[in-house]
Amino acid sequence: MTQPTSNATSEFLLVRVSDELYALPSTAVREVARWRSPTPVPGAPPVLQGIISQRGVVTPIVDLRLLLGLAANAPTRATRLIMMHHENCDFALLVDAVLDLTALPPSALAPTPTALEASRARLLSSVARHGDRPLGILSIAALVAALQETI
Amino acid sequence: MVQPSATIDTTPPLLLEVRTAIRCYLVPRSHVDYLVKRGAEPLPERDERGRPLVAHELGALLDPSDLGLPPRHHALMVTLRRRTVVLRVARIETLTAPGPLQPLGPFITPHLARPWLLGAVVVADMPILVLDLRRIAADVALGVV
Repeated sequence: MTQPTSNATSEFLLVRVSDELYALPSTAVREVARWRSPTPVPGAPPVLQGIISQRGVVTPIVDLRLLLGLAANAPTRATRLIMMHHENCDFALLVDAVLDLTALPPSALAPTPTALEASRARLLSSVARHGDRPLGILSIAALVAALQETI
Repeated sequence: MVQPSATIDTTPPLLLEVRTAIRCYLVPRSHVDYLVKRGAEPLPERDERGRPLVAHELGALLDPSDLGLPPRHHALMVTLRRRTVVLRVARIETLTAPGPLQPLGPFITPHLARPWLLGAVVVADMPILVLDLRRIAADVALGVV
């Protein structure tokens, strides 16, 4: 069996969150679905928009916009739910649009800038560029940890 | 046919489908002592055993915007040691064949403002929350809400 090497190109799902671009490691993405109205959960933090049934399984919707400290607009035709799986956690990430699936070599990834606000920097593993726009590479482990800690 | 002496009961608990002003919840039937229909008449101060009655609109306890019942509505009565709690709802229906109770998971359960939810059941591809009504009634009786 071939061991993955550190210089292997990885695939990412490019998403738009508010007016910013982010990339999710495709290994954690199970599927992409259209937004649908969730069942609200009274007393849950605002970042948890509610729950849906995804193929019969109760799945929480995490509003990535609020988690990143961005403005949450009303859902549009472009709004998507990205079904994620990380270790034992299944959840749906709400994003404003899914743009593309792209491959990024390690040479395209740069460390997270120190000037970036800490609440956002802790959710990123690195940064890159998509055309002339900055692209934040989300760390799913950090995202799950943030959700389990305080929200 | 001979039945085994000890079997595991996999039958889902009987759940009541409860409509509040704007939402729908499920409640274990075993959590409710009485179901009553109510009109516009005022609630008596005590139940038939002399315990004080404390009434609340269930929907508004869970979500302040879930307020406003029709004049003729239903009530779920939960009898506690020293009080009887009356939780008013718009309508009650019996759900005879619910699916399995699913947990809300590690992102939601530890972060809830109050531990009032037992989980959710998927009905017609929509999750419906299952309330811990006895816990809600206990908090109402204690005056913490």
